Amino acid sequence: MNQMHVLVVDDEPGMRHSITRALQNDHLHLPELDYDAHFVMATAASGEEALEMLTTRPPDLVLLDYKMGGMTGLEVLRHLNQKTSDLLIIMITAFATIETAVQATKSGAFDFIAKPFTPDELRDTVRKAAVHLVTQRRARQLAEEKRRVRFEFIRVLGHELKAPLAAIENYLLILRDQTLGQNLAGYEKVIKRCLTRSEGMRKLIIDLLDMTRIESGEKQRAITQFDLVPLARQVMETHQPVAEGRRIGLELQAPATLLMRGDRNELEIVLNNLLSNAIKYNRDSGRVLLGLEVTPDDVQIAVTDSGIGLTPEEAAQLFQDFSRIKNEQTRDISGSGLGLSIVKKIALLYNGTVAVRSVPGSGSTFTVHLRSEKPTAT
Amino acid sequence: MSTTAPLILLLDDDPDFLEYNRIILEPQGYRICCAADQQQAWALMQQQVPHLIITDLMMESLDAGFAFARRVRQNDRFRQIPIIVATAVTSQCGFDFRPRSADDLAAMGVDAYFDKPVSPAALLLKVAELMLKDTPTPDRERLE
Repeated sequence: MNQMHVLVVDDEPGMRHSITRALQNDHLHLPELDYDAHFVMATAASGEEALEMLTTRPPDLVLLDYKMGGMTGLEVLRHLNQKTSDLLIIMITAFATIETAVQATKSGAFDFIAKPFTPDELRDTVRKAAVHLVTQRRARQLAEEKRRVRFEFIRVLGHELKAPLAAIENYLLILRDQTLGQNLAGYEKVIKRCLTRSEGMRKLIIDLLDMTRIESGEKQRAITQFDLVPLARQVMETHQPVAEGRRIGLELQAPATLLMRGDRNELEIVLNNLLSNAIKYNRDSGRVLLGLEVTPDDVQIAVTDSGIGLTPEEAAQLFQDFSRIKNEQTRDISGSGLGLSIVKKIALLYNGTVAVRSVPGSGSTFTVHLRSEKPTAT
Repeated sequence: MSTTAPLILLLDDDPDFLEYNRIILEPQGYRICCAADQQQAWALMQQQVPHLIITDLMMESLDAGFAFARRVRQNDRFRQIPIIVATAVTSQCGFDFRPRSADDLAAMGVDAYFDKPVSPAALLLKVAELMLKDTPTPDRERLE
């Protein structure tokens, strides 16, 4: 249960008591926002006292009398608006003229309520303000969260780009200073590592561009009907040389044709990322099985490897940005950490899902389900 | 290489940084042992006490290198070992890690701090300087 702190500022004790009584036993129930709160009431007999109370316990709502001895309601209002932005003010006024309403609103009041008013009118006005406040705070929280995620993304991205750059620069210093003397084989190894790391950077940048295109929604999706099987064969062929180098067998299990509606390029990215992972994280002489299946409303792509597998903890964080499982077995494997995050984002475009089933030490199966684009098998 | 050559422990989660340091340091007569994380480094140190440690800063966490340095300093067997931090992280979340004086270094519990990439000459000079300063304690002689 939430608390909604209300401060009543009025120089008439009777007014303070009656408002407090009307609200303190009431319960704020906002089903449309899935929000419930009870009111915690506080009172101040003057504007000066109200401003003092603000610093000790800031309220969510302020019910502020327009006409008081000492500081007037409008003066208090101006002070409040300079100090805080996360509270709403409702003016209580005895003379409900358009002019006072306009002046109060101009000075930052959310609403006003004219004396005399009934407890129901008061509760309605407070309720309206509360809806606004809760909505506004949630929007702000969401924006804050988005900012935080974005900041974190850029921070990690910066590190992921800086690390290979530093490695390459280090090796260049070895070349410049001829640290290895006449050892030409040593220099060759250094150059090879430079190329490997710069290739890693290039992959990261390509993945980053893929992801940005998908997320921005700016990329025109070219939805056509096409056969997934030849596309899968073509993607497998591009991975064949690397797989052969490590004696890893690639196998396709699919119907003769599998027609689906979708964006060919997106499907190519999905197949590419899954296959390249299955090979990268495999053992030498292992195997990779790409299985394609179709049901009336679902295309299933499953890639099974005989690799190092994942613990449940590792599997849980796998589809997040820059998630790379770092351990003794993966230290020489380069990857951007964005591949599976991209696969997940594409699957979502098809109202689909991505899942992993894994046995540490013996292998993993990544399964992508794509829906909504009405596939048909022949 | 003889086992009496000074031993340097390298701690970095980037295999290329380990390789780079190995290429620079081994021809100068140092022995090298490498660790990819703190646990591995700590285990290696139990087997053989290194004469110097070169560590990355940001590994499993932002300031893993500092945490490791603290752990070394708090251990009676290891507290005298000179520590060099080398990092590509110069500022993070608004904090500037770069030390500006000897006092800063002492507060960090490390003996030298390098931004990556580290010039081979500068690194070798610093290693040699710290090795000279570090007269082995009788205790360490016995352990070896």
